[in-house]
Amino acid sequence: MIEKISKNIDANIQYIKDILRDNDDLVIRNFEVGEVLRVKMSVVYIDGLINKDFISQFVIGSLMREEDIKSFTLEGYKTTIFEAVQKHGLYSSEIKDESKWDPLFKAMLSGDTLLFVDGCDKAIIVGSRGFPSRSIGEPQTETVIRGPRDGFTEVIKFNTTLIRRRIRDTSLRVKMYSVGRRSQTDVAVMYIEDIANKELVEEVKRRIEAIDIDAIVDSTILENLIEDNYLSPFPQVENTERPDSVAAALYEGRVAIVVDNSPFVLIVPATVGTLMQSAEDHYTRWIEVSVTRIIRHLGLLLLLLSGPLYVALTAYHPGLLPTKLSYFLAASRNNVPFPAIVEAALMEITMELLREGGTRISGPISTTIGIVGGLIIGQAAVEAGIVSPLMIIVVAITTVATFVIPSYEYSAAFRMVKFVLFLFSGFFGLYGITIGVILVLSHLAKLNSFGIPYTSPYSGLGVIEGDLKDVLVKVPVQKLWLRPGFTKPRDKQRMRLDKYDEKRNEDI
Amino acid sequence: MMKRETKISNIQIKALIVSSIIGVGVLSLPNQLANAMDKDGWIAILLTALLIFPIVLVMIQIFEDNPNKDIFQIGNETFGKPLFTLCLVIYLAYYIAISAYIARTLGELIKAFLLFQTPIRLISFIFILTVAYAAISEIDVIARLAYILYPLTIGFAIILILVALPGSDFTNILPMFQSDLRQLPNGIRNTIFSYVGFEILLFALPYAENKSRKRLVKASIYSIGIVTVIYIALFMLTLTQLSVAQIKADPYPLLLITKLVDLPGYFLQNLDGVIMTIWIMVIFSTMLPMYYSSGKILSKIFNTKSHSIFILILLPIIFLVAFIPDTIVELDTIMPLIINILGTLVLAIIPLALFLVGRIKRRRGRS
Repeated sequence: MIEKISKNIDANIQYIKDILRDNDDLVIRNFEVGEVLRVKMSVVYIDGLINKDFISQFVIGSLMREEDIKSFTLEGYKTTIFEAVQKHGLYSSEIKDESKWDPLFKAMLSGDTLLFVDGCDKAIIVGSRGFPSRSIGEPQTETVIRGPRDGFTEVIKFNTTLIRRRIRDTSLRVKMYSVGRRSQTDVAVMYIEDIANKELVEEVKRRIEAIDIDAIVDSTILENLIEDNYLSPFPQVENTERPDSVAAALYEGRVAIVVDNSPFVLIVPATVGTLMQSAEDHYTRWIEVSVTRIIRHLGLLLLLLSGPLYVALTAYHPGLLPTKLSYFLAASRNNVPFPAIVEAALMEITMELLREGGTRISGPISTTIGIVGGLIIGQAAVEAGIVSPLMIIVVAITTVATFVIPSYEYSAAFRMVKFVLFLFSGFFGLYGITIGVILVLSHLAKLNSFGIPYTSPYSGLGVIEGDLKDVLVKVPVQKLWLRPGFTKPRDKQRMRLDKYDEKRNEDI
Repeated sequence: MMKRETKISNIQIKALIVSSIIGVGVLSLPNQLANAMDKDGWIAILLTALLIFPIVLVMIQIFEDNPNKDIFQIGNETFGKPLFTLCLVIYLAYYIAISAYIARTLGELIKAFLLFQTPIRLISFIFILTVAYAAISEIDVIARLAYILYPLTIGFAIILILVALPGSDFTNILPMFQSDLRQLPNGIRNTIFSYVGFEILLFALPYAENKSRKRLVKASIYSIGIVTVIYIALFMLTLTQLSVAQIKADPYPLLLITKLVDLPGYFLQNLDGVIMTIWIMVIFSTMLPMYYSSGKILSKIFNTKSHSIFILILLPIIFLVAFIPDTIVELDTIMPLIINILGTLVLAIIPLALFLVGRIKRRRGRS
């Protein structure tokens, strides 16, 4: 491998051809510039990655037609041909000169165009990225009733732009990295310098710099690589498709990580509080948000506990139920030949099958799956006497409850935990469930997200700053005058109330 | 990974004290008090709180005198290594005894109220295992757990009071001041057992985020105050529900109440399932700091970096000790006695000695 380019243009072109052999989308255009000097030049690019019109018109066109260059002689000038090209010959706004092969290849493979000039030991990189991309559309996974409708795409530049449009602050930072030995994926770390905690930002950068992997195909892989505890079922990094959510997070002092080729932007740190917030919460009146949040947490409890409680109550503690309900339960399970835990396992496995089938299959058919699964199998199972009708209700509630949790990964983690709780309740009833819940709480308490306790604010951090005002319930914006404390922001004040009140009183 | 500083905030210290203190003793407290002082048991609670408080002040003062040192360094410097190791062994014995007592009582009660056929040993063993899982982590994680669980501790009392309130007969509390005041020491002896646990301060204070004396004293007044209020409220509650004779006869009068109350709306027949569930969590948060501290003590004695291996070694020891007494009657007579003796040493004498010897040495050093 040669490190630097040579002065001989033919050798350089040959070298590129050698390195990228058998690549038929490599385009090399040779031409001569200047009626007097007749300098040999070459434009090299990968077909499809670049904007061809731009290169033809503003690079090749300008060089061949520009009068200054045409009649250019070195006599009487104190410049070289290279400088002349750089300063007078190109209409492009984004050029850079480079003498090493590595960055040259990287630029070309990212969609930039290389310009070689004979007799110079430097080449010019012309920014010409123009690859096919999806236009900005509505986010697929996080829809809101009221709120902006733009979502991230697969192109990193679009994504950072969407975020930047919401933060016109001089202290917004976009730090670019390229991760992956082979994939050379662009990764942008975004934060607001005078809000975000310095140690947090440093830690994010350090972890990204430490990655040495061949390819980052999607942000999920980066997420797994920078997580604190990769063995845990719980996600310690938040992801979103919505630029407004990212902007809101940055204003809270958190750090966003944008990965090229992924419409999901990562946000750190994540806590059990933030994972239960949805984008909609910013745009709905506080009282409605509060009720919704409580319902969501209730959903979490139902998802986790309703099944195991059913098993525990029927198998171990029918005496804890009111007598009538207890009789009813016994009567409805009269025909069921299995113990409660087997019954539950049967229905849960069926439900998981339906879920997986419905997710993988295309839109119109998945509704059929829902009808066949939900209605027919449920009905038939009860009539066949395999499960009790109450079990069907429990499974249905559990399934609906999985979808009220805004973060898919978070709800999936609880779904996994639920299976463990089923086992505990099957063996030890209510005692087993309690032990299971304690174990889950202990595990959550042990987790950190970039050094921030995962259980914040319930475990103490940020309570003084008033984080509890925006978790289980949300108080009006006027009362949230401090930034959340769990990120340990450098600038704590979000709003000055005295000024606000003054203004408002004037109006009245 | 990022080097994490182990720090506990002040609110976490409050939670740690409350949840360490309120534990296994709370269910049997009314019974013991009634046995000693009839209806005037609350006087004993109040007096004990007043007795405890100077000790807490002394503990805070020890760390004030020796800034930036943990209890192990302070002890070694004040007592010398051999003597302090002996103290540590006493602490260890105390923690093992109390953990074993908790695990055994839990097993007995779960078997009596929830799982009638499961062997007690299995129930207790699983509980110790659960605590061990959490105790392997550092003090900051334990403080977080304490903070998460301590609303439950308070909720436990509030739920009990709320459900019992409709059927309460407040005239039962009166007449007050009828009992023989000579019984007071006996009553205090019983209540001290319900206040053990605050010695976690010795292990937690060096990690306090805000070491200002005023803040720490405030935090401990607050938490011991809460505990006292809860204890008195629960004792009064038992009086309004049951006759003194009943309280004296039943070792766990609070559980009896939950069985007696009918919930309006009839969603659950009786509350003992709910109460037992919360109670398991409450005593989990009591045993956790103790288990953790005993692991830490062992790791300091053997000079190892991490205490997790000792948590595992302690597991069978606690389990075996828990099943030395044959019956629950034996358990309830022997264990509290041992714990009281060791507790007096651990709670009062060693901290006081640490404080006094430290002061004397310092004065000598100065002159």
